[in-house]
Amino acid sequence: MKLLRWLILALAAGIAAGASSALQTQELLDFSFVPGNIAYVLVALVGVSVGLLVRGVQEGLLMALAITLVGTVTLFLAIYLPNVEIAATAPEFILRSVWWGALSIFFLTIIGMVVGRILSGE
Amino acid sequence: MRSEERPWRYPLGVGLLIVLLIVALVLLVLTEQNYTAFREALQGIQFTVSLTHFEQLASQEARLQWTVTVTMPAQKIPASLELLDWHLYSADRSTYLGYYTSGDVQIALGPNTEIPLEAAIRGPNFEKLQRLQEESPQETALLFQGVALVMFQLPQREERKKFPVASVFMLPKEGE
Repeated sequence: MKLLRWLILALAAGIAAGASSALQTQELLDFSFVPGNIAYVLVALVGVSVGLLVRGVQEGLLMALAITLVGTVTLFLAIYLPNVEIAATAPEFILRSVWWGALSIFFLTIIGMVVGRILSGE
Repeated sequence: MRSEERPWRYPLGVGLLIVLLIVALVLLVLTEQNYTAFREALQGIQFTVSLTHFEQLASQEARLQWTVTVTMPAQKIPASLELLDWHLYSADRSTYLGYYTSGDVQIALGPNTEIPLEAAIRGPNFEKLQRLQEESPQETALLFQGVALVMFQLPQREERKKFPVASVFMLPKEGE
């Protein structure tokens, strides 16, 4: 039951982080209603919310890795699906956005988690 | 201080995560819709040119009027036509009849927008036109070849794109 709760948390947080991160990619930034830095703030807030829910450094790190994994898949799908033809001819454009997005999800989630842990009094 | 002493921690974390999930997904869906609409507009925008009026004036001048119809497939992205430049040729491109422009205009584009254009052919170009008309036994075929500058209003910035506009039209004989 605890594992199921953990998986649901990782999935929900990962999708939220990946969808937020997709808003700052080169492909979608011009079409988004929010500027790129708001997208980064959303990713960090996902970290804060998860920081309020997890306990211990090890669990936090594992959760950050799981969120990054789910977030990267979400981000990849968000950019790839409307750009199937471009991805076939020039995959490097999409991969560059995905690589940067994955890095930012991981580090912003960790930073958010630290803030969340401080807020929760640990 | 232990975390158990703060009962708001769990509901706040879950609540914040649910709100963030909904906000991020809604923003992503709206962004993707804008992106798809823009790409559909780029692929589907069409320009059709038709001659509406031709008049040969006594003062060595011919006046031509066209209607350019712009058809836009999706109207989620506001767009406006800024400029239309065009060249006139004989249909086989062997005779050049001059360069014309609509000047700076700001016409908001709807699903079907009609833009009136006008050109006055004078001087050497008029003489070339007359020669073409004399050589043609019936109607004279001319080529309208231009470029339209369209401005798309994206949520974060303006995107300007140029589109080719080309059409062959028939010039009736004088008096027809």
